Amino acid sequence: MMSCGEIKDSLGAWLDQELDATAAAQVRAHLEGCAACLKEKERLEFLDAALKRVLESRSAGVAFESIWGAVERSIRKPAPWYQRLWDRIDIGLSPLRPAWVLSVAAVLSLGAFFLVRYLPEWSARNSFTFVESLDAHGANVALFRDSGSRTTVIWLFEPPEDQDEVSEEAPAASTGF
Amino acid sequence: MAKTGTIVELSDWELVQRCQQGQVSAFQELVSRHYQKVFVVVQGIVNHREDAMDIVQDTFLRVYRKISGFKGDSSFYTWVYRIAVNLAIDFKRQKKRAPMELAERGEGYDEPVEDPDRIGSDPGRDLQRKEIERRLLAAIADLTPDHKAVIVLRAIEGLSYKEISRLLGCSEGTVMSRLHYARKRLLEKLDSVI
Amino acid sequence: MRFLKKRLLLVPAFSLAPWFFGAWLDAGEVAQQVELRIGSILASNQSTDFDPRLAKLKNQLKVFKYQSYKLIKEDHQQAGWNADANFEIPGGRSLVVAPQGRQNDQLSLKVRLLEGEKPLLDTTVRLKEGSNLLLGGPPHEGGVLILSISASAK
Repeated sequence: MMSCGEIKDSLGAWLDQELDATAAAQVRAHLEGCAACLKEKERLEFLDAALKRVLESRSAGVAFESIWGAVERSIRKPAPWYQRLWDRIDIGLSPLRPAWVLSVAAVLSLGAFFLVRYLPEWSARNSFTFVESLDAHGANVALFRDSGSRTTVIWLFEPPEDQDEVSEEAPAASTGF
Repeated sequence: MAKTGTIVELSDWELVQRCQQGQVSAFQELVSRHYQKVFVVVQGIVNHREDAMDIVQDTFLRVYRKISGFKGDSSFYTWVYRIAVNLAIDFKRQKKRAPMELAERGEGYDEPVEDPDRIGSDPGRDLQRKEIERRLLAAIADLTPDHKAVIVLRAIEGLSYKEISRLLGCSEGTVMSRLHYARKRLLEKLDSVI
Repeated sequence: MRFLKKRLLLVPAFSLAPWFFGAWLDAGEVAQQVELRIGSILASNQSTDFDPRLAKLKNQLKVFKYQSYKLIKEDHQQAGWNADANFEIPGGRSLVVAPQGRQNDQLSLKVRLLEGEKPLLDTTVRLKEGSNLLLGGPPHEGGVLILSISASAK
């Protein structure tokens, strides 16, 4: 037994003759005994009639020539090569745009996967080395990156000669740490 | 249908086959048969006469370019409608013109054509009718392109849910729920006048 | 239309599969060896020679402003995870490299530079397979040493 709410939700499909026989019979039976749902049905019928009237009346009076003239001029003109190429590959799936986007993204993802995994040199050229920790045990050290060559460099500097830590026994210049 | 008859006697499929052989006159006949209905549907979605004409022209141009690939899996008019509706929906999504913007630029909605038999017959009823139509047009403009498409295809063409679902590339359940939602929204806007 | 849509939606599922498979492979590679390569390069201004064996590093070495570069030693060793690999470096120095793990195609390495027994530098780095780290500065024979450290998992 359908409630008034369910009947009202089904009225559109019933008027469109899209309900199965059982549901249609239930709606018909309910309408015979429910003034509120009957009123709702009349509102929907009014709406459908008004829609048809309004939409059709606004579209009246389009001359064939105004459409055909432009179409004929375009089809008589040879299409440029890129248009002919697009016509070959465009298989008219515009309603499936989200699926298209997903599919293109998937193919790109697949390509990127193989590139990254099987061409490490290529991917290495495109990524910096990451330095997580650095301890120069008191000496001066610099960390720098060159974006052009994607190079990461750790540079140890020689301590100044008058540094207290330099031992008297240490050779003059060769190590200096 | 006579296969060797004049063009106007040929079926859509026979005309398509002649187009595929390069007969522009066959294509002209196809356009003349379907342009009016395509225009009505497109205008219902985009709500602007000039834009609708551009889209209809674009639709038939695409139809002509792709006609060699048309295998007759669906009826010709379903195929044309599919292209037209998708172009119209895409157009609305991209442009997103507000009704107010159109009015300010002087391009407003096309006013409903007056029924000469009714003008002056009952001023009160005329006013009510005009108010209903004005509200209805505003309410349609507020719908999303997808909801507009289903309401227009059902109201004007009387297409079944199955035909609409094939045209729009969605399920029949989606068509049913979109129609239900669109009708509900439109009725809400007409609440005080009907 | 719906059938085609479902088929198209399967494409992303199949194309994402390699990434998951790759992650599974990565997980399976924890127990394997890591090949470590250390190049000891003498950079100086004593000449303008460029060692042709360093051709692949030419762009990187341009970062430094020395006029000549010479590969004086090249070593490679294999090491297991968390195991030390010791490399002799010119000038009485040594380099200890211990692969720590692998994460997202990056190898984590602990690197220690010593002069005799004295640690000069400790660092932990993450580098992509095939890429390298340059560690430089220790003076040597009128120039400076630049060490190129790279690793790849086997």
